[in-house]
Amino acid sequence: MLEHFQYPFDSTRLYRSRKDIREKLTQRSQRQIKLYILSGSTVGELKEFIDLFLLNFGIRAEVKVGDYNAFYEEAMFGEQIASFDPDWIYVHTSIRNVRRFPSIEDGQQDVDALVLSETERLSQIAEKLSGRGCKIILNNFERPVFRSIGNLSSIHTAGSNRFVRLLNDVIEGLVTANENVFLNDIDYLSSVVGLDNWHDWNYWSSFKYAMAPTAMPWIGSSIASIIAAGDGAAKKALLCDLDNTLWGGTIGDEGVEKIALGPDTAKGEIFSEVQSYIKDLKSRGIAIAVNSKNNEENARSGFSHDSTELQCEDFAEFLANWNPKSQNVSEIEKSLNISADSFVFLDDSPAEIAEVEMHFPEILAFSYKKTPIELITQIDRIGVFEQISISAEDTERQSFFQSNQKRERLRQSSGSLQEYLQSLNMTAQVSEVNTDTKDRCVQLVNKTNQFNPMTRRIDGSYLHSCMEREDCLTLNVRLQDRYGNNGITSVLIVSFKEHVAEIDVWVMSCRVFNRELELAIFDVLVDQCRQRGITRIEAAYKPSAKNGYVKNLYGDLGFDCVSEIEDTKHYCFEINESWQPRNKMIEISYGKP
Amino acid sequence: MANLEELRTIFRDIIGDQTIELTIEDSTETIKAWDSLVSINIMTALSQEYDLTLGIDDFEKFNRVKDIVQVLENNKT
Repeated sequence: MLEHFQYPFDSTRLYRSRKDIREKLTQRSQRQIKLYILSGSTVGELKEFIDLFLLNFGIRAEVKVGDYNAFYEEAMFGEQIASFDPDWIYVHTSIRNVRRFPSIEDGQQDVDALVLSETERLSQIAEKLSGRGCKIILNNFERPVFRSIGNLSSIHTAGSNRFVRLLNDVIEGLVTANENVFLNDIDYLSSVVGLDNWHDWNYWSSFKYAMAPTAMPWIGSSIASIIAAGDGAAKKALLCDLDNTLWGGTIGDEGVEKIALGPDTAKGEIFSEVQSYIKDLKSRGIAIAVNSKNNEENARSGFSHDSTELQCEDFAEFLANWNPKSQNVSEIEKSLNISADSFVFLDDSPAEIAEVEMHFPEILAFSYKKTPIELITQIDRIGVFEQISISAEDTERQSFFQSNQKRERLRQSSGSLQEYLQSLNMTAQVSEVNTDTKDRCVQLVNKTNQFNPMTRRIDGSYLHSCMEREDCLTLNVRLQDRYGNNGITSVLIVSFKEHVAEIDVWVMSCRVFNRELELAIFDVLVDQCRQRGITRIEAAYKPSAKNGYVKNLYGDLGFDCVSEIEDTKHYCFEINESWQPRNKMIEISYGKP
Repeated sequence: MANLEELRTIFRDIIGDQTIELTIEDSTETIKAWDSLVSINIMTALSQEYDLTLGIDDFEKFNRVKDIVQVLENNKT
């Protein structure tokens, strides 16, 4: 990772190096978004910080800033947002936008009314803008600069600190109620920075900065991680070294009894914290892997320590050998089927990090100078693993990777691919998307880059409208095999017009590639089309940096390529009497859920 | 006397133009790219660089090189 982004953030250093950072990161960026910032106070260099932190996630942004403190007018009555047509909108408000705090004589009812009137504008904005189909980021409120009634401010009915808590409850409600609205928790950020560093009277009164410019990188980083998470560009896997990263000391030399881990030593306690945090990441769906220079047996023995928080089985891949670590990174890419630009790497050795970064400059790598907890501080504060929601699939994902390990080993021992696929005893169910599976389907579409012929992205309201339409079919596909349940692994949205079906969205999780699942799904689609009197299926493929895997998808399924416009290939499949289902490996069924 | 060369380096980074020449006579009037955002960023950068303690009166003094130099001088004492 570029040193400019190191934590704690240095706003001047970041700002002065912005040209340099852009030069280094722009050509590596994979995505582009448009962001409109609505101003509740001076935005100033915050615009740059958001831009730079987005580049760190591989996202190029076109950013437009609205007029000073015109957030309400522009959102509700202006044309500026409509004509810019952003993907994301950030509403830059803060406690400086609160017009009136409770007076000491106000009773509960007065305070409740005031809470409503002070959040009214944001409620209206959230409703109006989310209807446009773009994603909105709202700030909550920081703690007040002063609390003239002291500690009582948190308890007294009219206390300003209590008031902020009530305002933030309303904001929480707005965010929870609307899947297109996201929270930027400046209450938390201002705590991290420290209220005395956040609030600056000179900058406020002279230039109307709601927070000191030195605090702005924290906001920039947070906004970038929310956007990355919302667009499926947050990091997905954590690779760790072992010695002096997950425990103190070298296991090869000292043996499991002597490594520092657990409550017996101060150092050991810190390494336990590191392991504990990583375990938390794993439990909500981040894949973790070991990348260590060690003899494998020794490496594994570290996890038999009494105080270990992590187990060998927690890791989706465990590579302990004497190969260059960059070589292991390539192996891990293949084994997890996730590309290195979604990796985070932790190692106590800057030399190892340099070696990995030389081959994989897109990896975000972190080391530490004094205390291993710095590893966690960095990944936590930079929000590399930010998530906008946690689904049941996320919490179950790790077991999929586990099962994948077993499947891969089986594949290597089977005679042929056909034998191997047969031995998996795969079953699949195709059914219509419903309210229970909706979120997971949106998530899958937005995260999938490889099996995504048009690199389609959707949001909840789009999927909902497709589900309601008579002329549209929204399908999700579940896959099981002898090692377990893979959950929902494919989403297909097809629209019908007269005798033609058009494939709008088709994605498949990389975890289930090379299973011939696309053959099975296509068989079901053709059957459904025949039942509806459809005679032709249309589809399209537009190459991207990541979807080469499906370059020949439609060709292989029997489509003809009828035209190529700009770089998009248009395909056509005529359904006739002679059509035969091709799937032989998966027992697939279709049913209404 | 504050080092004009150091000021020039910081100035060039803030404006994003390494070719800008800075003289003691320059100000927001003489350099086109020098707007209020630049003034604020120069102030923030110099505050950190020279560990300045600035008051509300100093905040208006970052529009002219002459005034900036004066602020830096005042802070040394």
